[in-house]
Amino acid sequence: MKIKKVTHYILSLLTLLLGVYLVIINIPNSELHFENYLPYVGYIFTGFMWTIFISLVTFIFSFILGFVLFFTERSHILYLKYLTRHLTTIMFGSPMLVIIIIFYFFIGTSLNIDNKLFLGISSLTIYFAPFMMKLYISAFESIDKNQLVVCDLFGFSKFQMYRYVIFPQMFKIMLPPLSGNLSTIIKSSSLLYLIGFNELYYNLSTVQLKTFTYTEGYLIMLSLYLLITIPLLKLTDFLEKKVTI
Amino acid sequence: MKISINNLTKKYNSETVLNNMNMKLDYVEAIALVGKSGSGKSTLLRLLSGIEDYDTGEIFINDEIVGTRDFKNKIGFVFQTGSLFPHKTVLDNIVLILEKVKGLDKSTAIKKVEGLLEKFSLLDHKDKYPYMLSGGQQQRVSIVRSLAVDAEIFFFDEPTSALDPILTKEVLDMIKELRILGKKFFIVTHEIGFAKNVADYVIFIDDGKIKEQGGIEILDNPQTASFKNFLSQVL
Repeated sequence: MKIKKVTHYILSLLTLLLGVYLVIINIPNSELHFENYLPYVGYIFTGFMWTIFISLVTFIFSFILGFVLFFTERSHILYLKYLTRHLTTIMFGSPMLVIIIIFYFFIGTSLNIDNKLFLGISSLTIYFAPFMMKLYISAFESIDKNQLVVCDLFGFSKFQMYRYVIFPQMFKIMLPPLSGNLSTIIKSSSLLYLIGFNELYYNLSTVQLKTFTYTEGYLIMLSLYLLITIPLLKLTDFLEKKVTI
Repeated sequence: MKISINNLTKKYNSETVLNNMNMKLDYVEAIALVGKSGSGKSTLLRLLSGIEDYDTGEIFINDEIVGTRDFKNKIGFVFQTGSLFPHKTVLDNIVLILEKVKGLDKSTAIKKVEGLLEKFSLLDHKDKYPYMLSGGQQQRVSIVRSLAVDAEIFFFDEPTSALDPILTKEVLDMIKELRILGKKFFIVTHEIGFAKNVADYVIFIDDGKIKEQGGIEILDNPQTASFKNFLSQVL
């Protein structure tokens, strides 16, 4: 049974690789020259590390900001509630590309800030926070509300209720979609090339322009992004199994 | 237990669920609230326990207004299903409250809870999560949880409606034991036989109003057409 599984796994993978190969050999002048990229390994690696760094920082900040929005969205202060809703509507409805450009070229310019790292991460954070907020909300809604009544009856303070009863359950529910969000953030961070930030996509594009070897560049790009996202997806599968109660 | 309900009204949006209800009782121990689905009996139970606010009127139990912190400290509420914390084991479900909220030190709390679980034949399940228990066991654990905080008055909202007959029996047996322990309670139930067994007062609610009330003998001798009709359907 196990051998059968492995065989099928390898065969399906080979089919995909064969597909890639067939596409490449049909491109005119399709000789691949990966060696052109050797002088730029350090430069590409820097981009790779920046992509991981930006993604993780964005993930953490949007997770925290999403948490704040979760409360403001449910706030009795209508001003905060509506502010959160407007922000959510704008972010859900706009391409991220536009948000990045607005942050860098308009907000950055008007505030006289020219730090690409800061503006890049800020724009990604603001963009993803409402998505994180939605995760908090749906996790919260899946909790049996009788538990809130029980907490009140037993005299839990609001803090104790969230700390011991609500959040531990919410995080278990949120884990799988959270890693989905992280994967989206990683892929989306490539859009920071628009403002000339030297993350993976930007650096590889630069090398492509210098070496005139585009096919190789995209193959390397695909492989490197997968190198980040595949372990993440595996981790998600693992966590999903771990937390199923 | 003394109960006094004055001009109680409860609305959900524009729909009136309980309409200008009045009642005065002295010396009752266990009250069964019966009536059709949607009659308002569960709403009345929630208002009596203070877990839900009413629109107008007032409710006193033992001369104390319901819903205050002091009052809530004295009561236990058992829902139809699922009020245990699903991410905690049976033991932790109860220890959490004693330790974090009531301020007992952990070893004292564990000792107390284990004693109670043993008393109600639940000790074998102390390390299980709620989803690993039968519905009847879950209900019994949630009764123990209220006993652990020394609740004096219990509110049961159809505690056996989601259970099969065997599990129903084990929960009902436990409620009988509460009676022996001297606990007072209100129970919304469709188990008329059981109501006869443990209750000393019956309230029949129909269409948001108390239509009949009295000792358990009214179950055998209903006066109003609606109560007769109800009893003929459930028996």
